[in-house]
Formats: sequence, C-alpha cells, structure tokens
Amino acid sequence: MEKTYSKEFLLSLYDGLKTFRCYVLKMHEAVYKGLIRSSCHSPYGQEATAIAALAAVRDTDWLCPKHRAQAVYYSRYDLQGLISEMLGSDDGLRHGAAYDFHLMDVGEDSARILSGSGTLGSVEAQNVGFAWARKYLGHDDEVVVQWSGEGSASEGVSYEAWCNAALYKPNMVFIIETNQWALSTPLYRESANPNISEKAAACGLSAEIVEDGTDILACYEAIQRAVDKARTGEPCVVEIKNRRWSAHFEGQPNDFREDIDKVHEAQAGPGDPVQRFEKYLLEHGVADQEYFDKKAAEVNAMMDEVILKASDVKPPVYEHLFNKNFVYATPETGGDL
Amino acid sequence: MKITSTKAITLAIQKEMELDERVIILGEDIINFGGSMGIFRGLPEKFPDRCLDMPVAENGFVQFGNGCALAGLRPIVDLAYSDFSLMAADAIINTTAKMCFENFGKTPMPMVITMANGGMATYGSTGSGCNHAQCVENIFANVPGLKIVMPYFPSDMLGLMRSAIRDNDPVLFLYHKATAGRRESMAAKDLTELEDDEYIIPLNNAGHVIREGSDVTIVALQSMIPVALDAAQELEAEGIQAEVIDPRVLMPFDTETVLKSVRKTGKLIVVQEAHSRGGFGCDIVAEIAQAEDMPLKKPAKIIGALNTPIPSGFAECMMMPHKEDVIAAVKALQ
Repeated sequence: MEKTYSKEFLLSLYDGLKTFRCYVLKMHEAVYKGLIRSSCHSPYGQEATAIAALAAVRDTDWLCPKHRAQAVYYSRYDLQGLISEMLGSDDGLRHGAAYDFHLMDVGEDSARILSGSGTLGSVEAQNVGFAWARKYLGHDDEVVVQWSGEGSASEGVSYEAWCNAALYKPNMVFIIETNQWALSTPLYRESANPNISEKAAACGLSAEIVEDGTDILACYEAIQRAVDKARTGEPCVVEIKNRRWSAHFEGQPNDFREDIDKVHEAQAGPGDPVQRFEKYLLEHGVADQEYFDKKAAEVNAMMDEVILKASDVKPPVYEHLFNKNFVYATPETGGDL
Repeated sequence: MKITSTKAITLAIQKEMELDERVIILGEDIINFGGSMGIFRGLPEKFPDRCLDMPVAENGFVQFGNGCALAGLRPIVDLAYSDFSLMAADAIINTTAKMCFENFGKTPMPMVITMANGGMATYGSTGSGCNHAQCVENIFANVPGLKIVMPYFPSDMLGLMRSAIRDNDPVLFLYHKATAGRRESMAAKDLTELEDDEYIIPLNNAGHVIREGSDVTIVALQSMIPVALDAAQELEAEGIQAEVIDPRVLMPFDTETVLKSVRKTGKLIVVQEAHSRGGFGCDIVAEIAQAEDMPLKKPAKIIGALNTPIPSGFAECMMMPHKEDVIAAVKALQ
C-alpha cells in the first residue's frame, strides 16, 4: 500500500529539491562565467538523494556528503559563506581554501560535517572509526551517513571500510549512488556486477537497492529505514541507482557519453527527479503549477542575491591560510612551516 | 638493573592508559600477541575494552584510527613492520596528516602510529627481506602535519612515547625491530624514575649529545647509534675525538644541537640504516649547509645502506653500514 505523507512534509521535500536544483544550475553558471577556480562536482540529475537523506536524519547525526550532496553543506552551514567559499573568497567558510569538497566541522557544537578526501574510499574507512568512537564515547543515538559512488566502491579501502563496519557495528549508513559513471568510465567497464551494494553485502552488511533514484519518496523511505536500523547498531547500505547528467566536474567534456540521449530524455521529464515529484504532487492534490512557479521564482531570486553578494570576491589572505596553528594542534612541537 | 626497549614502550603506554581512558590500541595481532613485536604485551588483559584486533588491512584500520582521533579518542595504531605503513600510506599521508589543516587547527588529531623500522641484520641476526626490513622515516618526513619519533635507548622510548601519546598531533613512533630486545643498564633509582608519572621527554629540542668530542660530529640515526659509538671508541685510541649525536626525534628536528656541534668540530658525518640516497641524512646535511654561518670546514658525508633492495637472510648485513665505514669516513676527513 502506498505510504501517505502530510502535505507539510511533502512540500518541505519539494522546496528542498527545488532549492538544490536551483543551486546546482547557478553553480554551473558560475563555472562558465569563470567565477569558480576549483572543481565544482555537479549533482545535476541526482538531487533527490541528498534531499531525501536530509529529511531522514536528525541534527545530531553526522554527514559526509562527498561529491554530489552539496545540499548538506548549505543546510548546515550558512549559504552565503558556502557560495563565497565556492568562489574562493577570503570571506568564505574556510577563507576560500576548502571550496565545498574539503569542508569539515567536527566539534561538539559543530555543523557535524565530515570532509571528503580526494582519494576515494578513504573517508569511508575513516568514518567507520569515527562512528565507532562516537558510540564508544556514549553517543549511541547518533548516526553517521556516508555518501559514495560506484567509483569509490572499486577502491580496496572501501571493502576494508565495509568489513570493519560489519565487525565493529558502528551506527552508520553507507549511501552508494550508482550514477552510471565513474569520471569517464561507464558502469559496465567499472564493475562486472552492476549491483554495487552486493559487494558491501558480501562483507556482512545488510543492503537495500532503490532501483529508481529519481523517485524522491522511494529514496526517502529506503534511507529512513537504513537510518533507523543504523541507530540500533546495525550498519547498512542503501544503493540508489540514478544517472549523473553532468560531467565529473562541471566544465569537463560530457558529450562523449553513449547515454547522452538518455540524459536528454530524462531531462524532458520522466527521469527528472524535480518534474517527477511535481507530477506526484499535482496528482495527489498537494500543490499546483502556481506553487511550483512561485517557488522557482523565490529560490531563483534568493540565490541571485547571495551570488551577487559573493561575487565581490576577497582575494585569499596569506595569514588566514598559512599558519603553524593550522598544521599542528600542538604547534610548539611542529617545527617550521 | 636493566630495561628493554619493548618493556619501556609497554610501560609508557600502560602509564598513559591508566591516566587517560581515551587512549586505545588497535592493530593486527593485538589481543593474542600483544602486537607482532610484543610492545603491547599484557595490556589487552589490563584494558580488554580498549584493545582492538583489526583485520589484515592496514589502510582501513589506520583510517579507523583517524576516525577515532577525530571523534575525541587518542588511538595508538600499530602497523607491525614499518614496510606495512606503505599499505596505509593513503590513510597516513592523505588523511592523518591533513585533518588539522582541513579544519583550520580546530580539530586535534591525537594519534600515535607505531611501527618496527629497519632490518634485523644490523646486529648480526638474519634479515627478513625486501618487504620486512626497510626504513621509512624519510618517506614521511616530507609530509607536513606529521611528527616522527625515532629513539634508540629504552629510556628514550619510554619518555618520548609518553610525549607522543599526550601530543595533540599524529606522531609516527618508529622503534627499531633489531633493538626491540636491547637492554639498557640503569641504576635502580633511574629505573624508579622511569616509573614516575611525570617521566616524559618533550618532542621538541630532543637532540642528544651521547658522546662528547671535538674533532668530528657523527649524527647517528637509531640503529646506527652503536655502530657510531663503536667507531668513536676505536678512533679515540688513535687520538681522534668524535662527538656522537642521537637526534631521537626527526620531526621536529633539533637542528640547533647538531649545528652547535659542527661549529665546534667543522666536520659532519651522518650514519643511517636507510639507503644513502634520499634519506633523512640528506636533510640533516642540507640544514647545516644552509646555516648562515655554514660551519663545515670539510665536505659532509652521508653513510647509509647500499641503494639496492634489501636481500633476505645473512646477506642483509653486507649492504648495511658498519663501524669500519664510519672510521674510514672520519679518517678521510682528517
């Protein structure tokens, strides 16, 4: 039987999705205007996963969003600070040195965001230890949610992470987005087994597959089940199958792709998580076209205002970035820079 | 009274575990073996909830340790042979060393990574081949964010291990596998002092002149200390006074102690078990050569292992530096 949701919940999901899509397109624009001097990994086409996950977690949970869940950053950080960071400005969240990928905040009163690593699979293994330690320290009602893609899942250390999770039972959810592409390599050349989560299951974790990741409610339900299960000490995997529409980072060539027709077809409606959810909301009488248009105009104006303010980029300041106190927590035993 | 390196390390860890319950141990063969070199022997029985056996997957469990440190624990992660640190190079270099910077100094990474460095044949034992006998200190010395401790004497193992555990940054603690059972004779009162809760040797300014002399400075890294001391003794019979320095800590390196000595002697020899090319000795010589008052009066000399992979068995000692090499180098400078 189809699950029923409150109007309020469905609209909050929709607003989240619409805002994320707007953020993504504005970041693309910023790339082509030459405003972003680092990599902008685009979640274009797979926005449903992050919004669904954000609806399933608590504020006390820890999130490691990696490449394609930037909504996590602005939902927990200040959007203005994030966009200034993306533009490499001194008044960005980390003085323009982290962009989004290396943002991290892990103190007790922090945003509870764990940083990505440019080498894949690494932080997956790190965060198994992090989740185990939080539980060991008595915080057994917290969950760590870890994003990965099928590319990361090919790294040996991913298996080490899954094995350690299955052995030591941290409160952890591995979201694996199988988006059909690992940089320029299609899934069929990346993995003989197209069900990536089966590899994690072989290590002893329970796994669930969402076959259609453009369905935000299916994503939400699966992730919510996983988060609930993890909170009771059973680490598990949710594999979301979707399709990355952009290149690995925006600006890289993308026209070589053999599935480019499928991308265009998806963008026309049936495979677009936003249009698909709009159709659902219309059919269920939750919202009308006027609401969608109003929301679109609203988030567009809001993003434009933030980006305009951020466009006044303050160049990086040496003293804000290069200091012995940033390299060593006990700088007196750290030697010279 | 005597204390071995292994016992000294165990004692240091035990003391710190008693004082701070955030200190935990993880690695391979911890529970049944006390670590493959035995440096944790007895601790799993004393602290059963704080000793974790990990699967044979160094990268994964160093990352596990990274996560523990980020979350507020103070893990000691054991890598057994230092060669295995290369299996965990991604964890150590790309994560451990970077976390403090990623969070702009707001998050400490208090962890100690222990490993047995070097080969067995240095003291006449048999070598275990090209993947179980390497010196790795120079590989990690090029990574900002790490600290590297490499002591030789058991009392230094103890004092520096305690410092390493208390430090808020990641410390690679390299003990030497051939010296694990080495005994240091100590007076009973000195042994009592080691048991003291405050016996601790700071990581900075750790350079130690272990033999005074005025004719030549020999900086000896870890396993090469007895080689240098033996050479110095023979040279003394010929009227040459060699000063021998044990740096004890490579990062942060105590340049001042070496510089002070070379200002006196004008001559510098570094003897290391690592291959002579690209090793930490190059860094030491470079530090002295770049000093404003450049005190070298003769060319500096680095004595290290041959630049070849390390053979197994007795052949290992044929490629290692010996006291004769040190004596010949000193004489060539006279």
